[in-house]
Amino acid sequence: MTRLISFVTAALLVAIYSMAVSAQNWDDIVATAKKERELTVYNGFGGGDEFKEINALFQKRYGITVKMLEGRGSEIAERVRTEVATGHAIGDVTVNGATANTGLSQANAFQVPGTLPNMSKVILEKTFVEEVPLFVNAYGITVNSKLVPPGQEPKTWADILDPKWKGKIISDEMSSSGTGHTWFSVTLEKFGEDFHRKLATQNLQFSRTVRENPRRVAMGEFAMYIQTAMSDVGRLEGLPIRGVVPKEGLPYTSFSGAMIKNAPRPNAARVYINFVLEPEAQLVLAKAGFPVSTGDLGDKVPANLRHLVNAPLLGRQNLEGQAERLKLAKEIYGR
Amino acid sequence: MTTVNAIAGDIREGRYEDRYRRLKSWGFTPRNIGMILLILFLGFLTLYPLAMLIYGSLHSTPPGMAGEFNLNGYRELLSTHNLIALLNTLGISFAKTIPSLALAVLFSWIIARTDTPFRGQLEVLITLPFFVPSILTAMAWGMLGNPKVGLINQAYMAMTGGTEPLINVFSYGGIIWHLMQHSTPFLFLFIVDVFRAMDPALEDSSRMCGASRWRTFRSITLLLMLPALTNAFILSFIRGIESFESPLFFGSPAGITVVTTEIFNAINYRSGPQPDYQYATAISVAILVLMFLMVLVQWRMLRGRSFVTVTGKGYSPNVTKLGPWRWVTFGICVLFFVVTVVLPIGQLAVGSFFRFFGFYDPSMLTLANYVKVGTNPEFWRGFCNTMVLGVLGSTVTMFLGAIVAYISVRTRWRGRTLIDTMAWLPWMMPGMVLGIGFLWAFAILPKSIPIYGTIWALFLAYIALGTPIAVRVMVGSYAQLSLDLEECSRVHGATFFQTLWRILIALAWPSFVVGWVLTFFGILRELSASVMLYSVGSEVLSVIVMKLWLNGLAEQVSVIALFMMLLVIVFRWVQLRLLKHHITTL
Repeated sequence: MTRLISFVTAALLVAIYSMAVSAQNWDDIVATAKKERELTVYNGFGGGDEFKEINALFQKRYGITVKMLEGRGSEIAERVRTEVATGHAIGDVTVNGATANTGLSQANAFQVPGTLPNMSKVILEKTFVEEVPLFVNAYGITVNSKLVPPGQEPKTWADILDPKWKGKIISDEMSSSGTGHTWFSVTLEKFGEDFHRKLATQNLQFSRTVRENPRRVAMGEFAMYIQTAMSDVGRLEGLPIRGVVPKEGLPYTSFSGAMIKNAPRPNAARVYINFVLEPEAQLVLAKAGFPVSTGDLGDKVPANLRHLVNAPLLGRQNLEGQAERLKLAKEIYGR
Repeated sequence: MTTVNAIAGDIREGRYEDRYRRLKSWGFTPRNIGMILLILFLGFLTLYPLAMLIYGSLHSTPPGMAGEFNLNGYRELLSTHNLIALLNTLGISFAKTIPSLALAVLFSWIIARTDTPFRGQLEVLITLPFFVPSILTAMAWGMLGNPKVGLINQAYMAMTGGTEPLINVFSYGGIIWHLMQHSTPFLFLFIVDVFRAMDPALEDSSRMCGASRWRTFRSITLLLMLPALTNAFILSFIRGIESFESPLFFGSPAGITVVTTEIFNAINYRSGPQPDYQYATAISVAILVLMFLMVLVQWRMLRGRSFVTVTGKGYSPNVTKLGPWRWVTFGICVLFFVVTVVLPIGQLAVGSFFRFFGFYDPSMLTLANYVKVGTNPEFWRGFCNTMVLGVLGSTVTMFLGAIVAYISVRTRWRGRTLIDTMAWLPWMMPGMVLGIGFLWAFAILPKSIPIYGTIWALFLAYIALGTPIAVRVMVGSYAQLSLDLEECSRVHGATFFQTLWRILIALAWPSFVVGWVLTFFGILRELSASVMLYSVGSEVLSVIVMKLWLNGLAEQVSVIALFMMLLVIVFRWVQLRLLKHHITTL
């Protein structure tokens, strides 16, 4: 018994010591980060002003100036890769979608950020070792409120196969990579090929202008858009559309932060990634309609967005086998 | 003092003359040195990024990554899918260039050679669509010509009681129509001054010999304009092949694939988490070869023919009196303006005052979009950067273009074909890929040459991208000027520089100004290279517009578009005032 008590006490002391050392280390990292004074973030997330707001909060707390360079996901990824490959690193952190960041991880363009205090709060799964999941973009349905009265909207994904929707659905292109293909991959995995073969008979109208599609529904051109980023529903409040979450949940793409290899300001980079996981930063994302990586933020999220932010997630695209799935989508939808 | 004395001694003893003679015998003349420097500079701007792309097309991975050399990218090109995409691309570009050129020639004739009323104002109005970002007019036409809810179709159905739409922009026709709106004013800008600079005596002779007005136009006017017309045709045709927004917006819903959407797919992870740059660059190199062959055909076509219309003999611009028909020509110009400017830009103007673009509910009226743009520091920073880069970039580009064109057209110097060819290259690569070529090229330079990550990267890329237009505009202009003018000046004792200033520059000045405006607004709109090369603090307007667009803020983008329109009107007004003043001075 005495031995057991001694063992437990020793274990506790070791745990407390390592926590103290870890806290001490983190304080050192923060102090060094402040000396680095600034930080460059490469942002490939085409959202709204959320990251500007987060950067302002970060700057206010740590006094570190954030310079943010924004672009399309693929362009930002190629910049990061080229900078690392040529030894011209300017960026410290990149925020991008799972596909782009997985590619960069495979190209050895990232470094592990080390232990981050907020990492323990993350409930989303990692795809690669250097990744820090920050939030997700989830894809549900928007319906035209005038054309689809309350109660008539699809309750499950299978409901969109109802012949009454024939010719009334707009969809993002599924046979090229992007939102539509992510949706295709997840629903293919969950509901099988037959689901898509039946959906193909619904005479979908395909479009690649993702941002325009909910507006086309609002105009009454189509009754529904089946891959609406749920964050768009809040942005378009005032237009005659409603966001619908089928009961199985929503396919999603995760957005993550990663520290660029040989980042010129490595400590500021760590502190920044950790800060995006702080409740105040996560709330900025949740208020814009994004399900966040640290879970439910309770009633801090506006009531009209809560069901979207806390919607069940159906799954995300497995990047392996994408080429075959693209071919299958082409074959099924005749594109 | 010792050095000065030594040099003086050298000169006295004729040592420098000896050295100079020796260097000259080795070919080191000032002209040759100048040519070598010019070739090196153009090579750095055009061949170097192109070489990076050719490397990309032959290597399994992009620069800096382990991989192997192979021909997989090119092998993949050989498929039925790509053949269809290529035929679609060529067909669409051809179908839009021919009517655009015909319209541009008609408008140029109306503005430059007839007594149509309000020509000055019409000239500014006709060119406006060229300066509006394509994505915005696409957005506007998506609403006007939508088969289900488009305003034009709704009005048509309400008037006729029919149920079938009049137009459907999501079709081949929609893509061609949208591209035409941009290429007609582009071609017009290119050729209107060529009409102005033409000596009417040639046409008068034709008429006096009994040729009809139409035959004179066909056999004299058009033929003399062949260099300018073929230059303009090729530039516009190539630009049509490289267009992306129109096929994406109007072609994708109809399942129409073109080369640029293939490149876009390849860059955007068509086969997993790694972008397929090998395939994307292989398509681009194939397109470049195709375009180059076309340019060679043009060179063969024009070789050995004279297109001189401006000689030492004085002439006054000839204006055709149209009588009552001048109101018909006026009506044609106004109709074009209404359809291509008033309708889409009207949509943008109205949309900018509403909370949501396209939803014109009075309860959504707002000035918030203007306030947000006006108080956005990033917008103003981007505006200032763009103005500085635009003014300096287009001035340097035009001087470079004028020099290249001069050497190419008016000298027999060795290497002239090489510099002319190099100046063409950036135009022949789809912008989407060329931006990556610049990124690779500048980033791979040693750190002691700090271009990547600075505003210099944008500046150099803009010069490279603008040079093809600058050279083509000046080539068209020089080709019309008789060599007698220069010879006459030299015979009368003028120095080379006096001749250059008083004859060549004085006569080519209107084209220089047109080229400057085209280059300036080319810089203003340029996105592909800008987005790959801008750094924090060196944002430009096109990048700001793209970011707002990606963020779904079409309303704020409309505000910026209107602001750009205002800029265009001011610039065009200044340009035409300058031109008028210049012609009066002449």
